[in-house]
Amino acid sequence: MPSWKKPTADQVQRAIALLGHPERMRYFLEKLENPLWLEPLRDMGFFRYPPPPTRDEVRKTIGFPFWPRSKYLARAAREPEVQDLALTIALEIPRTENTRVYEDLADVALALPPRLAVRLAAEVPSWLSTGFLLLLPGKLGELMSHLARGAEIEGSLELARRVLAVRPDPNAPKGPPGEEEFRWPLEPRGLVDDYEYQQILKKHFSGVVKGAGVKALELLSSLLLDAIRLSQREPDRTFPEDYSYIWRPDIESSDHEDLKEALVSATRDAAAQVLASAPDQIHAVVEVLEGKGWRIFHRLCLWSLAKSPGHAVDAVRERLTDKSLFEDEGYRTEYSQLARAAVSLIDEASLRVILQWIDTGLDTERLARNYEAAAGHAPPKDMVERAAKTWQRDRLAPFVGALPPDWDRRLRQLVLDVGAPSQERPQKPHAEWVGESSPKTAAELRQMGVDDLAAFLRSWIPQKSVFGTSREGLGEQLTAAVSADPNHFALQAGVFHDIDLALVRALLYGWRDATKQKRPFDWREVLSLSERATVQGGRDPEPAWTRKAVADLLSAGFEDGDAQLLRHLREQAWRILKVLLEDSDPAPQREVPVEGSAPEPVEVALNSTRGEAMHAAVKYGLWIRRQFEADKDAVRLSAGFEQMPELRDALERRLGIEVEPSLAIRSVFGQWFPWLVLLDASWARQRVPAIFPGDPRHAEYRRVAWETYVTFCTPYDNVVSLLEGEYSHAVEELSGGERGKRRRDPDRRLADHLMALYWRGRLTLAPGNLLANFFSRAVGELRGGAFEILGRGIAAVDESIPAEALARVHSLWEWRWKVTSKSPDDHQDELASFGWLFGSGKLDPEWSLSQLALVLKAVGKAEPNFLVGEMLEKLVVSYPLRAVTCLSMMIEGDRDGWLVLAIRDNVRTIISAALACADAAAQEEAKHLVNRLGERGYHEYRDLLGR
Amino acid sequence: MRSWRIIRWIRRWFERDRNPSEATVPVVSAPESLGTVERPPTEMPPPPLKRVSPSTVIGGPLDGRRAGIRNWIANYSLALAELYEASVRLMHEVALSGRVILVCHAVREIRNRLPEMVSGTKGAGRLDYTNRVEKIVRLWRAVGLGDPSLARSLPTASASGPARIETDRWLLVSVAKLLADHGAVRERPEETAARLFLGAALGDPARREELRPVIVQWLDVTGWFTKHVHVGLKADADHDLDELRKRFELFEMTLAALAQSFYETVDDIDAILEEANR
Repeated sequence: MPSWKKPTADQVQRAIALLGHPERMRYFLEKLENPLWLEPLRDMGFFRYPPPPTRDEVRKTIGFPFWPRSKYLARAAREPEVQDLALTIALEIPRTENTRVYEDLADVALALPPRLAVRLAAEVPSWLSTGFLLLLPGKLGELMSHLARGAEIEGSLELARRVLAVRPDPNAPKGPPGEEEFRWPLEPRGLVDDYEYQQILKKHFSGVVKGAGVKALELLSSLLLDAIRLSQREPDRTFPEDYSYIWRPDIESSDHEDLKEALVSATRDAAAQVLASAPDQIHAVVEVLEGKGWRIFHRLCLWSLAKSPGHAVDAVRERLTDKSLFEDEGYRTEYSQLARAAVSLIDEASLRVILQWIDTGLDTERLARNYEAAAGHAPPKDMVERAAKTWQRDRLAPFVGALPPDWDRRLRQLVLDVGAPSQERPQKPHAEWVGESSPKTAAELRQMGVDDLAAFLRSWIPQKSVFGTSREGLGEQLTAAVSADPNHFALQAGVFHDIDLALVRALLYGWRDATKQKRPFDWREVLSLSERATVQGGRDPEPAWTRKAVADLLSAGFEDGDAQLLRHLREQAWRILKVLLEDSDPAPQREVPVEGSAPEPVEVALNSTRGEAMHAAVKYGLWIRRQFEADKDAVRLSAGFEQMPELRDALERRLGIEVEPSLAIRSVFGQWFPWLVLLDASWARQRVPAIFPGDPRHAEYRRVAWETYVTFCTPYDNVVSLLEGEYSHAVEELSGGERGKRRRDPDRRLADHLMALYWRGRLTLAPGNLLANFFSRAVGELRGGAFEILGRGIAAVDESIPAEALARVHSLWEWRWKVTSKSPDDHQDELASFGWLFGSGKLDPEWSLSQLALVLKAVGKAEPNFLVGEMLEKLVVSYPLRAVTCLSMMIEGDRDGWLVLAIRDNVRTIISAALACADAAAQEEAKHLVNRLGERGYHEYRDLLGR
Repeated sequence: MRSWRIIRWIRRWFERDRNPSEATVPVVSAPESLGTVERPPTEMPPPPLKRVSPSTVIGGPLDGRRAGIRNWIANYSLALAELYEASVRLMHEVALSGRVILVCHAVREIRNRLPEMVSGTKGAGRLDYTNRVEKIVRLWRAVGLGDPSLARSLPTASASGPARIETDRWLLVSVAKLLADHGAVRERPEETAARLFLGAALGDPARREELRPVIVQWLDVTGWFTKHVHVGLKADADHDLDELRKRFELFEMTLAALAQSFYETVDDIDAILEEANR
């Protein structure tokens, strides 16, 4: 350790003269090691004004700034020469709500000798009142131990009492419970959170026990007593039963779930620690524990006696011959443990008493009564006998070694009869759910012949018990079996026509999965089975769910692939589909808002029979069209719906709101609109007013069709030309209000469509047109989002971009700049989104840099900053001054202070390159930036100045 | 008003001996109307400059560091920069009689004026005490309270309470308003000084307390000069010249820490830390 020199007044004054900047002040205090500066700094008022927490009322956040002065104080306090002064200063620091300051004061106390630290520890109650304790609890735990080790026992215990205080459950319901109201058990809490609480007990309390002995045990027992009482709704009525044999069946366990259990473990460990160092303290330990009265304390007492039986033989004997302890199942584990530990100490008379109780045996009549009450019938005789033998075995086993010969033989016989006693530790009661059970596995089902399988499925009856085999369990295995070998089951699918519908559905799911996995099979019998399942009416779940399974299967079968339906099955497939298109699901009530939230039509369509059938119908059209394409039949291809009139008629019917009021079905038209154009462009053009009805009474249908279209489809030119009116309408519908978070965001997708069309030259930039209207009506986030998608799109283009496309991007941005730069504060999101264009790296670098500088000057930021940082790093070699200037502006504009952390490596590269270039102005700007970064606390770039 | 005459005198004296070709910054002559203009045009707060020009050695006692201070002050006020330069020359170069008082005046002006220039924000302003008091005096006399023997003729307090005297409402309002205005414009020196440091650091006003020790020392150091402006006239030899030098050095160190780049000052701090931690 250096021998420190006391600073002169001149030295101190010169130092202070240099500290007229908060960051320099912090730098100095963090680097100052000499503890002898403490006094002059205190005289200059350095410790008078701890910084308060910083609150952001807008974001609803609170910050706790570090205070370099208290950190220096904590360092200086290690030096014996200034420890009295350090304590005085610590006590002088005004109260604050800034917990960071108290963390440092705890460090001061830890650095001081216990006789001084205890004076500071007396201030802890006021430290704990701030509400946000951060790292303070851990340090206070350490301080408890520190004080106890230094013989400041009362100070240590008082500190522990304050920090570990147990408080009532803040969520405890007020008032008496209503009828049939379930109430969770009460959970008392600590002043510090459960994790910190447990850490203090685990890491630091042994130090307290070491110094304070039984007094520490008394403190923990009191805390546990508080926890037990505060866990009970009516502690006076339930005393002494705490049900600890349920929530803590094993005293030895260390799996803590809550504060109460943590205190049990800590009390146990404290008792063990006391007895390990002073076994003769067993009577004091017993007195402390049993004095609390509740069951858990008696259990802890038995456990403790088992640790040191030789020092309390009378006490041990007294408890082993206590019949209430012997009989009470809630003490069984600890009683047996004590018996095993004290087996060599037990006298003959006591053992005789116990053996007499064992000989009397289990109360089998009571057992039978209880069994009958639960099961409804008398227990089997062998079960009762076995229970009685097991009871005796378990009670004799702890006394092995002390048993008289005849009892020893009896125990051996019992072990032969019912096996050896379990060595497992007692467990908390728990239950698990492992899913539905099946009587056979998928492999077993596949090995069966199809006829045998059908016979089995017809005759099999699920078990009635909750955890028994079920149709759902068998169905899962059946689906897996069919999916793995679809043709094996498809060739004779007809034999399944009379089995349970739930199992038919499982078969259909199997063929659907096989189709998706492109495993071909013979569809003929499968379609026949499907048709039979389809015509089974009713709205009970089974027939309805089975029809949905048929729709799913057809939908998969019309998709292109090795397992698709063969063309000669068109008529049969359509016959089934036609029935499904008239299905009653979705019923109107499925689309009614629940608790103010309407179900998404798209999701209802996917999860309803008619909705899935509609999807299948469009796929049906595309399936037929693929056949025409395969035949190279231009005539039929151009004939559109003339070649599939059944589909056209079905679609027309579903467009009638009188017939089809479902929004879910309407969503399918929107989702598949580009493909309807592909199937028959003329029909689609004519039906635009029907699909997107302009009648205000049907505005919801128009909205749903549009939102599904714009969300799920990309903007194909030929489709957009049919929907120009809908695009205009959607732009008109944009509102300038705040946009809530939506899972699917049609407005954002509209922006994507418009940008894609503009990029392709399909849309132009002209006053009053679609694009201009969009930018005048959309909120800033949406306008920014438009540039984001444009930037992302450009960045993703691998080949060289045509000059005219780039020119369009330049024009769009410059036009927006003209508008937005007049009031940048109102256009922050949009202006900042220039970062996406800049970050794409595809635009002219000089133009990009100049625009970026304008944006940064206007709003101080460009998003996303990581992309801008990367691009500036690329450009700094060619444009050092402009790149480093832009970086400076970004950093100046960063209010939150996260930017440098996000792009720290880019910052270093950019500054290094600017310093190394030949441009003196760039070098100067880079030096200035390093200094500005230093002022903000980022000293990692100081080395670049070459000092 | 008296202080501006002194400033004008210092400028004239300074310009007399200067070779214009050596000047590094344009010297703006004080306008003839200086004595009557409340705030000379050259002292209007410029937009705050974040950058300090590189230090330039301009000869004599204005070495690189002092030149840096001068140039930094000139970013905000050429007049104050000149005052600083003059005070440096008086301290180190020109054994001019009466220089202690002149230096004190110069430091006081810098202490009082620089904060508002650097921060770009004015204090609460000045109160025209003379005119306001004269106005009250006229009212006072008009209501018949101008008689020097008034005190003897006024009633005295009695057991029932203080004596009550009826007077003119406007007189009372004028006095009350003057007292209120006095309270409003009286900015504490700590607040003025805080604007200097926080303004130079582009700092968050909420962090003012962190700089309090620096502010206290600045006020103590510069307060010595202010005090010596006001004490009865003393010859140079009657001043504690060692104290003057020490104080002036701390005054310059504080300004240098603001004027130079962040890491130049950190280098100075490192030097102090090296000595302290040895």
